[in-house]
Amino acid sequence: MSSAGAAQRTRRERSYVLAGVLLLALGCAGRTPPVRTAQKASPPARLTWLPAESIGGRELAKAVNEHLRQVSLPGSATSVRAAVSMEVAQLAIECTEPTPSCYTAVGRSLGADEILWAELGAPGDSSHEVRVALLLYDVRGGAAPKRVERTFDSVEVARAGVSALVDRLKTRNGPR
Amino acid sequence: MNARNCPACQRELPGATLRALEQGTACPHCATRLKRTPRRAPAGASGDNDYAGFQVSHTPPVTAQPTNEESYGWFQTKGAAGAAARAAVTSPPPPARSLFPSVTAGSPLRSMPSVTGAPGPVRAEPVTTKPAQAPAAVNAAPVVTSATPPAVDKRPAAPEKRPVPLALPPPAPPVEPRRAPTLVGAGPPPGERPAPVPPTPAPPVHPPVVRSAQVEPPRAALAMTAVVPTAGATLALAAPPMAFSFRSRRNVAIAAGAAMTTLLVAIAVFHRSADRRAAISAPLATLHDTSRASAAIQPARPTEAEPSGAGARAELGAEAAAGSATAAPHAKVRTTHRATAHQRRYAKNGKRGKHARHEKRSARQTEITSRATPSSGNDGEARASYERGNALLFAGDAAGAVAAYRKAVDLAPADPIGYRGLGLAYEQQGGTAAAIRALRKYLKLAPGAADREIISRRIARLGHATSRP
Repeated sequence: MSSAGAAQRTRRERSYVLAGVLLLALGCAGRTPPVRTAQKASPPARLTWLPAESIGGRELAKAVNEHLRQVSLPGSATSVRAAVSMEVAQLAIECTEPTPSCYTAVGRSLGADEILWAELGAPGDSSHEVRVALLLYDVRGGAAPKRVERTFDSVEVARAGVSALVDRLKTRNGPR
Repeated sequence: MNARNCPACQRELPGATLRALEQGTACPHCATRLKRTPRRAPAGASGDNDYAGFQVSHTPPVTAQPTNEESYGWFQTKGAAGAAARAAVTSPPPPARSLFPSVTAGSPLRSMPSVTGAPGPVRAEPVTTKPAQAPAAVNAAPVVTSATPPAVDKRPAAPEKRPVPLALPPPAPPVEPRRAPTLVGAGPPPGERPAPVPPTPAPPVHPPVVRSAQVEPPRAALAMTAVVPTAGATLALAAPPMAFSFRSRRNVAIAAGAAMTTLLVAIAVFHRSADRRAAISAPLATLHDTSRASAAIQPARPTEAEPSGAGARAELGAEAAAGSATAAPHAKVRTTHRATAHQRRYAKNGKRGKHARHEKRSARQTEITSRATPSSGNDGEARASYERGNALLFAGDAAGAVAAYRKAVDLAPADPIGYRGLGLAYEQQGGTAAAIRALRKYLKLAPGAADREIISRRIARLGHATSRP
């Protein structure tokens, strides 16, 4: 009686242990995946553009800001102009590095989901050439900003070519 | 109670059962476990108190095993051999305090008329030595003082008295040789013999045993031996604990393996879910999934024409205040190290999800760092005023920002950040000269600031703009 009973008991205990392990594994593995419908139902991104400062000339800065004002990205609400430039914002929050971290800090300080700004400067010793770069940064994603850049021969050429640069940025950003 | 009867059902026991009483047996009628138990006489009692009897197995354990003389001397004294033994008795007569109160020293068996012809001294003279012709065989016969039928009824105190067994010499002679002669030659009443037992041809001769109170047998060992159940039962019960130990170890091993497996599965699932979440929240992935913007969607922020709304101001102020609450002097070093480690990890790993996650963490840490960096002063109120000025500046309220920055400067004059804020706010207001003065003051107070180059360039640009018509 003892050997048969013990063997049966052993089998029963083993089955209990295996059932427990199976239940634990199922409990741990049965997590529901994130629902994508919540993402689709999220409100449109708040796009904030920061005005360019007149480093290369007031006319160029004014032209660039005009184009930035008209930028509208799919999936985003109407763009909002920030009160300060990117450099002032970075100085104020004491994060002046051109890194996604600092851009994220600026975007959060402005309450934006996406920030758009322009960087104007002279590429080299030439006093006539002007470099214009447009940058779009997703504050929520935290990835590197999308950047389109072009060097123009003069301020006048740059003023005329900013629109094409904005179109490139839209194209690079792609349909949403 | 008759010694040959079962104490439970009072039926007569067969001879085989009686012989097996030494090792313990069961009543064939009622299955009661029986064991012959020598009972110990009280201290000072003579040999006539020595008698053995049945004991049901659940009774207290036997503490001693009787010798021939102790247990069955009464039988030996009844026959011819008993007479010889009685003649050889050297011990003093038993005390009057006998097992049977009614029996006196002079006529101990007056109440036992059926006892064979030597009435008086039979029980009064304990046998301390055993005659050769009536050897040890008594041991096999489970004899009680009530061995004779008439005596059973006329000795009322015998079963209740339960005398304590006497001190016995430890080694007991072999059982088998002593068993048969006793049954045959001891001469118990013939009516109590259920079956004849063949005599043993050569009973062993035992040396005379001197009963002594000083000789103490290993009673504990005897007692333990007496309470041990039958051999079969013991062996049957011994196996399961060993098997249980083995199973227990195996079960422990199985449980440990299961726990490890579960842990690994949980870790794998957690990582998979985290990657999925990160991939979903990757940059611009959400925007790709969302539907195209429609004209009906209202802007979440004030338009360009009204950037300095009160709501926006309050929101920005709250965010700035929340961020500044975590500022601490030592947080800078720690968070900088963490951010650098995250960036290194990101450089190693090109996965999109992990990249996004690390960037997020890095952004958080850098934000904390940035808010804690130049605050050389430890005045909390000044810092709070500075953060409030930032919020107002971002909201477009340059005048309010100037007031907040000035308050920060008043609270902590040695802290340069207030002057930098003042310079930025004055610039927003259009006060170029005041902005230049404030920024220069900032550089004077913080000559090694990280943003010194930017501030210097800004001062130069403001000066150039001022000099320009």
